Amino acid sequence: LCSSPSNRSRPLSRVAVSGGTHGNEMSGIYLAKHWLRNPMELRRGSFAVTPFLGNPRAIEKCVRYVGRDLNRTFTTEFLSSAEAEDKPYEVVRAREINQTYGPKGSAQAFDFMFDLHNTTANMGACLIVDSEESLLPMHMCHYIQTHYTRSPCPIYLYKLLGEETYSINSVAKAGLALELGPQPQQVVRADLFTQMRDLMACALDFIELFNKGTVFPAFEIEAYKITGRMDYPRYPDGEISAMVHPKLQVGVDWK
Amino acid sequence: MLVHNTVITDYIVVSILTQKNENSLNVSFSFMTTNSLELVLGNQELNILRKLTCFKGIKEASMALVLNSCLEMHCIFSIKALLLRQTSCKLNEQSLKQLNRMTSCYVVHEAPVRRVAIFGGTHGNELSGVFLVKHWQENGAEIQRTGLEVRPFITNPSAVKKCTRYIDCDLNRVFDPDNLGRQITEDIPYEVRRAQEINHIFGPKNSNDAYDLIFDLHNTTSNMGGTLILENSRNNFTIQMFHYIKNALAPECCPVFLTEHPNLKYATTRSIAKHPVGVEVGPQPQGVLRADILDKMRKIIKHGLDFVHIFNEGKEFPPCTIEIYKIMEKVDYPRNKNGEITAVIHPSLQDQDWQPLNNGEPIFLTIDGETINYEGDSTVYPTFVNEAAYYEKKQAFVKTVKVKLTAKVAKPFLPDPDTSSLILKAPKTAVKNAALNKADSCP
Repeated sequence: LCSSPSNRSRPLSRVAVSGGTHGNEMSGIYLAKHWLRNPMELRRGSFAVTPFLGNPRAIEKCVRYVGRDLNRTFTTEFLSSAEAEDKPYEVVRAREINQTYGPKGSAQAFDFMFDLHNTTANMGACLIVDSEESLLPMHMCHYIQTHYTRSPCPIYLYKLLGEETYSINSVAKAGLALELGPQPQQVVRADLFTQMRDLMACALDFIELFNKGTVFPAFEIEAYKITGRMDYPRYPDGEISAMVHPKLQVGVDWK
Repeated sequence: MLVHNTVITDYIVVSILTQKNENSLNVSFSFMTTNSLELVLGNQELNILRKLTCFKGIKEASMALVLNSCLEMHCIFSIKALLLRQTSCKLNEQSLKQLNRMTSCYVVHEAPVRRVAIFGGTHGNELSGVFLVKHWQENGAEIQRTGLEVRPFITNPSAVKKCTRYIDCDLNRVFDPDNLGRQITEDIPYEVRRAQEINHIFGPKNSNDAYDLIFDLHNTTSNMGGTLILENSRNNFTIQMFHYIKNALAPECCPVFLTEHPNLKYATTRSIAKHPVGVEVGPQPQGVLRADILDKMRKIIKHGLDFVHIFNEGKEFPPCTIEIYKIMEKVDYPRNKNGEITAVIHPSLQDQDWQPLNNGEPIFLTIDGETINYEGDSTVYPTFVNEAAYYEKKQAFVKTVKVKLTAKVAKPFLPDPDTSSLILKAPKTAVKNAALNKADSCP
């Protein structure tokens, strides 16, 4: 991947971070709650980040979602369909978020949104961008990889060709998700919590440098681009009939 | 004066006092039973066999045995108690206290273990047990053993369907007498209703009709490996089984966790059986199935069933000692005045289940990076460290201490040709006793 220097038009001023887009992914939830009490950590000279809880009802119940996955609900279909009383909670919530931090695709939308996640998979400290064409996030990832050296930070490009973006951070003009694992749902591991916090600090350093006029030259970088998704083998009634093989289970993400 | 005490089953305690006179041995005994029983007192060396029929309650009796020679009076009296099938009876507080005071074990003859159940899905998102039980329901060849009925069963199907721990309340906490006896109303929690159903099928708890053995399959997010959970430190049969399983799995570790405690013990699903066995394998996230974890659980069950089969065949297991971890105390997360957690499990403690924790070593890390250390007089062994489901139960980890438990000889009581005539008589007396006892009120 070879990218040209990013667009220098304007510094980033409106930046947000969501913790608890999934109500049982605890690192982001604890961080967001901490930042809501102590916003100083999210301040830099040229900007400040607005923290918020993505899915408060799911957080309260400590579940991934109550009606439908919030992080799949930011498509045009859900954001703009007609008012209806029987909409799942997450559709209502997605529209609120779109109003506050968007509207998606408009000039009023926030400049950047971070989204904090955990996974039970052994993905390490994974940086998720929609595609390599999002220059600013790609430069941010490159900066993080070179400045956060405690562990590797693989980059995952999640959008399939032709697919519409559906994630919470697609509401803003640019976005980055942090996906840290392995961590069971509903559990806080101190090591991953600290790691997520440090990665955010690193990302904010990048924005500060960018805002101050630093030139980020072109670079080559390795990333993992999605080619497809693989379901479990299933019985005719839909029940899972096989498990991930032990050889694939242990330490093999990204290999 | 020699004192021999013998425990026969959970329902009967017999303490025997033997007093040697010049040429006679006076044996007096007191006991307590929830069921009518027939005691056969025997000693092979002296060739003595006496039969006593007893009714429920606390009884005392004595018998004098006249001896022709002065033998060394350390003979072992084998007590064969023939439990007659009766309807269940609850012991009141006073009787229970009395029963608990009568202790210890010299020679134990256990009833053979015939009716076994394997429970999966007591928590609907602990998937190894769910997956295994569903498989065994389709194809039970792997869990069959001759002479044994092994029934796989999903205890909380609604929670399993939703892949959640529970619907209304934790099923594994509601098998206490109050909940089991509660009246069924419209708004009764799903799990309480379910507990009563399960008690009806596999119990009733504390009765002679209850299943002999239940394996209850669980997963944990904690790094506990393949842990076996023991509820009663005097359950000879279970301790022998755990010894057998540990040996079979060696050099792989198989920690044994004893949950016996006046306040901390909880009324589990498996507690309806005479021999409850908890199998807790981790770490595995909720809602996730790991092949290696499943395999470990499967092996534990295999060896457990092998033990039961060998036991029933009449094998005598010599006394054995195992090292176990006994529950001492639960430790909650530090919280602020709003009840919110203010610190998480310290990286040094994370994943260190069953490893020694000494005074001054880190246990929690606050958001501000401050370390909180363990303060205690002695080394403890933490477990259930950072179990996801325990955040709501206010439990960051549990402190245990290492204890050695000894099991006496375990041998099944199998009908003996010499005493078979006595046994044949028993059912007749049983009917009589049954008629009598139904009218009785419980002690």
